[in-house]
Amino acid sequence: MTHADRELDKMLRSPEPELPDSGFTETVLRRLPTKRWARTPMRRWTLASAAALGSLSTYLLADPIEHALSTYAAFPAPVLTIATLALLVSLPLAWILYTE
Amino acid sequence: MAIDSDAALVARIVATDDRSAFELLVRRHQSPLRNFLRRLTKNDAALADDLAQETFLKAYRSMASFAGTAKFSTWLYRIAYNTFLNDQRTRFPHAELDESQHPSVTNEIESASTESDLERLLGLLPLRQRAVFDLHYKKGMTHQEIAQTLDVPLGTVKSDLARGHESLRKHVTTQKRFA
Repeated sequence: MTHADRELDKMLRSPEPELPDSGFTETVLRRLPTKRWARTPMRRWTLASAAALGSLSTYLLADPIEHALSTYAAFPAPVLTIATLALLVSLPLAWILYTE
Repeated sequence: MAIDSDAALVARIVATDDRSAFELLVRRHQSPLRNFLRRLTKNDAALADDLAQETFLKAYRSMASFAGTAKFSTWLYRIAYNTFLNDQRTRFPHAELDESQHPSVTNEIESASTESDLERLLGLLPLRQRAVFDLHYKKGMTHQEIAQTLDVPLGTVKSDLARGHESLRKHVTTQKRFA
């Protein structure tokens, strides 16, 4: 091993400087996406509300809608009623999927 | 008090999105990772820190895909290296990015002072050799780990080390002559 080799090896194996954090970690943490658990209650409440809204709509509106549709629509009233109620429930669910 | 291993911290992040575990990982790896990126960017500290932040954010987002077959640091440096390469392609979209390409070194040799200028010496090496030297000598990685990190064959790592040594030895000898 020549002197140049030894010198080079010494340089290469010298420990590198420890860089002070100086707010680096905090900056990374600030840029993280919203915590998963923080999104969960929102999703739970939205789902529960959508289910409650669907049930309430079915209870309150099924008869009047069916009556109105049987009077004016050419399609069978039960099909349209189910479609209307399904739409009411699926809109909030679509919103959840979109925001996720 | 027992120190949590990287693997244990990763498991906590994946299971419960544990931010304090992630914070520990960042604090543990920030200095060597930033040093690695500074070496790749030829000591552009601001750019290196931006890339280091990006690396940690990418690691966080894909933490669930960390298989645990390799060391966490190997996986992290791989993300960092790819982040650096992508950044270079974005900055210089028309430049051909050849990781094994030699930079122009003509006047650097004469002005490099021997002992204190390891950074300048390493800066004379082509990009991939610089990465190989850093990972081997400064991070203590094995040849196999370096091959995994840089996604190159094992033989390439060995030849990069051999060629890099030869190149650096010539520079050091030349400097001696000029001194």
